[in-house]
Amino acid sequence: MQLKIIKLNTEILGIGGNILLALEALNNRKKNELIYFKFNNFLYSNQFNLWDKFFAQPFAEYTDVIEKKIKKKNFIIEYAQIKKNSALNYVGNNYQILMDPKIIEPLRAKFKKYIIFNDFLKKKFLIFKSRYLKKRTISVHLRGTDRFRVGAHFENQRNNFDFLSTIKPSIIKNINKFNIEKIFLATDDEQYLKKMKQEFKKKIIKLNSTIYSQADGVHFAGIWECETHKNKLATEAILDSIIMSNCNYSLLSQSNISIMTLLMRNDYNYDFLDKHMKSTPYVKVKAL
Amino acid sequence: MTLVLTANFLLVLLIIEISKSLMVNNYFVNNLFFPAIKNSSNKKEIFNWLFNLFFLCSIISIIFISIIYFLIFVFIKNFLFLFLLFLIPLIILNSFFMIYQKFLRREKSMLIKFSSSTLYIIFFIIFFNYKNYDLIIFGFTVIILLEIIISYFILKNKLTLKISGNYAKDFRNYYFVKKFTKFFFKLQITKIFLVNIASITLIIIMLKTY
Repeated sequence: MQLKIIKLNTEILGIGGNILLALEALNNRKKNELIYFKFNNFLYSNQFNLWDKFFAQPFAEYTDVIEKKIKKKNFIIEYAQIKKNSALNYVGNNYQILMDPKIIEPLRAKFKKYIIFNDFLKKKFLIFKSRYLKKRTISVHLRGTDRFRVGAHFENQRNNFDFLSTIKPSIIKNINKFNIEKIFLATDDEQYLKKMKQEFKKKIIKLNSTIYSQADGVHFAGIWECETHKNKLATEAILDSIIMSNCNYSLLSQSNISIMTLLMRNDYNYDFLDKHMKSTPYVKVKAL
Repeated sequence: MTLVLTANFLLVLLIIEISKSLMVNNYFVNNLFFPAIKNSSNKKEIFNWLFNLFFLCSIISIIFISIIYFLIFVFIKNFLFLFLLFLIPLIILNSFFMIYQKFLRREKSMLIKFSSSTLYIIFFIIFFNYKNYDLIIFGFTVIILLEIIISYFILKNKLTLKISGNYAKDFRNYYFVKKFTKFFFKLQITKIFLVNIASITLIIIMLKTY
């Protein structure tokens, strides 16, 4: 068996992007190939392999073989990347692809088989589920903050993702349609959080504690944080995604976290709030 | 004689102060690093990491300059390098405190500046009869060391400085140095300054040798 080490050194890619890169590598895996992830992402950890912190390696049952091969330097290295035409590349994508079972189902099968969350994440999710996910819930992912920054995929497009004209009507429509009692809100944007709280008040359930102003965001303001805070950011992002996938219906944004969410679902009860928005395709995103 | 000494004194002082201010007034530090950490959860930890980074850079520069010193000493027996061995690492370490002062924007930075300029004047008055480059460099090394000590005691209430080996393998080090160096060399004034400092050093070495 050949060992392939998938490497990633990044300071701008979010946790969702990391998982999608891993999934792409697993999707392109040849027969009899062992895959080992070595992701250095300093948005979420200052010192450690991100994969080992939050996930189990996909071929954990071959740990001894992998260790021996690493010792003997009998491996090949590949740098993680998503191909332009991949379904996992949301930039400039046709949304029908993300609703197409022929494309999504094989990816979901791979996700369930190989992307295994560490026990502490599972425990945290079960605690949250037992406390808050008892009623019919809709999950809303509002990706704001730095995605509207200069150089980002949706540069200066905050006006196209307006709360009153775009987000609110869509949420109300789905609340009535699915007889929803609670709204799980996944956002780190101060402005959207404020408006959602004003509008839906006690219906809102929220997990993540880190909130950024309009221009900031984890990709900008979180870079120099300490290890504990970075780990917390990653944990909350992953948990947000798991919880969203367990809600009755999901309203998503064009974001890697949202794609991760739909890959964890068993149904097609989701829609994108910002499907009218066009991103700058394949732009080289700069964090700083 | 006194005119030559004053000129030499001011020249060395100018080189040291310009190099420090170029490090501190880096575009990356002021316009990207400071805004990013403005609302951070643990500023003390960030500055502790930054201190460790500058401390590490100081040690690396000591090692680097020692190697150069021992290689050159075979051909040019010049003791000036011996003081540079301590002067450059101390300038690097001093820059950390200057960066921190800028972040605080308090009158404390003025106090530190005032005390260090007083030290420069005292040093000049004591040694103005000696036309000796080694002595000037030695004096400046001592002054910068004193400036670091003064800065530490003035700012210590706001800082928790602990030297830790864990910070050596921190990913932030690489990213900070990469961005810092990129913006440092992007400035035209840095390039001009570096070319000038190199030529002045060469002239001094040549004058001392022949």
